[in-house]
Amino acid sequence: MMQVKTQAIKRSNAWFHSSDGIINRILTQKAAVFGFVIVALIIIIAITASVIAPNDPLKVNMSMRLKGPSSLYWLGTDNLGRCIASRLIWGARMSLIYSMCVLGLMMAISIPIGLLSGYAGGRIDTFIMRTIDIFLSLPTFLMALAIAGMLEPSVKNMIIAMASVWWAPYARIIRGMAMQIKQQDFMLAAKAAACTHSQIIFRHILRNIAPSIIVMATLEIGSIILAIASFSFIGLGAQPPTPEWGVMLSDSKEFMQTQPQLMIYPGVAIMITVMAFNLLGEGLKNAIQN
Amino acid sequence: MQYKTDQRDDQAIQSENVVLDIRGLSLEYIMPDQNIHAVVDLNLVARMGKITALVGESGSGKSTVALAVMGIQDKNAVISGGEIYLAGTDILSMPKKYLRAYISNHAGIIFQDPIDSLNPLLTVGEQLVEAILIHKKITKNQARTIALNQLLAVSLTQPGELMKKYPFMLSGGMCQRVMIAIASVFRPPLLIADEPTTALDVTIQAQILHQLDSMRKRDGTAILLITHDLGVVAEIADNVCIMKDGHIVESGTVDDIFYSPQHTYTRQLLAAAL
Repeated sequence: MMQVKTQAIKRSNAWFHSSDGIINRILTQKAAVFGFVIVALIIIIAITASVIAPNDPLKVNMSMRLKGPSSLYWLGTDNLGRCIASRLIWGARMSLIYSMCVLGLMMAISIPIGLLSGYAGGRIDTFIMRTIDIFLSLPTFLMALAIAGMLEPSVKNMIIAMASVWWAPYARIIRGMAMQIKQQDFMLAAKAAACTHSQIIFRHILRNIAPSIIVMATLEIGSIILAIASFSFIGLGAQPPTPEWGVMLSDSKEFMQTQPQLMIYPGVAIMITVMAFNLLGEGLKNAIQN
Repeated sequence: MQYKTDQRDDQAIQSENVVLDIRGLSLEYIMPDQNIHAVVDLNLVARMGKITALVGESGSGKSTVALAVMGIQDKNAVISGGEIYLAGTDILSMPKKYLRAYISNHAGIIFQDPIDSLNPLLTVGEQLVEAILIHKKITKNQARTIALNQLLAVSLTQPGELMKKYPFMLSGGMCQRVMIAIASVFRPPLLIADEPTTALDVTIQAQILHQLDSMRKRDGTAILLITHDLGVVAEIADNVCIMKDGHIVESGTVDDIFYSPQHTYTRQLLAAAL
């Protein structure tokens, strides 16, 4: 069992250095490649939004309300005569920026806490773990909702609310990984060489669990994007007229009966993005695990 | 020095070239239901330029001794008595603050599984340079030069290439040499080899043993060789301590132990090895 584990760790560390490297193993998985391509496309769209969007996403044109697709408005216009395609393209940028903020904040909380807990052990570990248990016993989405609701509805508060609740399970996973690395022989060797605690934690533990953290983060982005859209949909996240997918869904729900495409476009955009990140994450996970 | 030093007979210690002197060491593992006495009243001496073998079966406590000397025993291991004089100073009476630095300046250790003893994500060069920079405040380039020479000193050719390689790209024997290089960067007076050849092929075993042998000849390093392989002991050790259930049952020179074993357990071990 131990042998298998260390083998897996060793192989996961091969990265780019052999023909059996992680890149090659990802390339053999069609779904992961598919996910990667779509994620790359979405990122390119998000970065170049100001260039490729055909119109200003915020420009209201009441004479062009609810028009069908045309050469100027690729996907038609919404109830205020705004270009749907442009709003979707800018929405990609918003979704990625917001989800990166949530993810970054979550990791900034969970990585140090998880590492400290796993490395220090003993009472510190017990204290941190019981605190995490408290967080885990609360329904995370409802908690985030409650926090976001108590604060003023804004993107900033939504990000804070989500990160402050969702870090807990990740801290626990990172703790577990840190403890596993702590058992390895090279930790003993590092201690014998009088490495300082920070050297051991950052150079030896963090670097070894970094691949797993990256996989975890990739798998998480999908659900974060979904959650952000949900928050925006119920009015606790991004506020109109921000071109955000959740906001677009919310804005168009009154026209669901007569103009269903207004909801379908942002819905499909969310679906594709979440699916792409999940496929990529799964692929990374498989590549690292086997 | 304000710590407890070996007052007993400094002169005698000097003349005997004692590097490591363990006196009456007792160590227990604190377990939830019972305490395990892993080492009981153990006495052991390692001298400059000599290889002292600590021989015993699995679980006899020999690795625990090694870890205790290096100050890296498990958290639940409690030293309940005794003294460990490393280069003349009792490390057990030393404040924790200075302990690691002192020990790592005076002793190095290599482990059973050389590949697992190196961080899989750092190159050989990075790990060697890291070990050097811990001990000396010098620039990275100076450390690199020392590292290159150090790799040559453990008979590794093409050190420049090797510095860029990751542990999984090397063979077990090469990894063990790298470990020896790291453990002996600043020529510590004591090198502990905890079953250094158990995970290696027989031919590589001989090369590693030869490496250890040449180190003690070149630098006068005292080597504490922990093993269960009496063949290895017969080949290079000067003195032998036979350990069983935390006790040293018999100790003496290799000739004494091999030609006139006194203790039944020693006889059993010898019989099993032949």
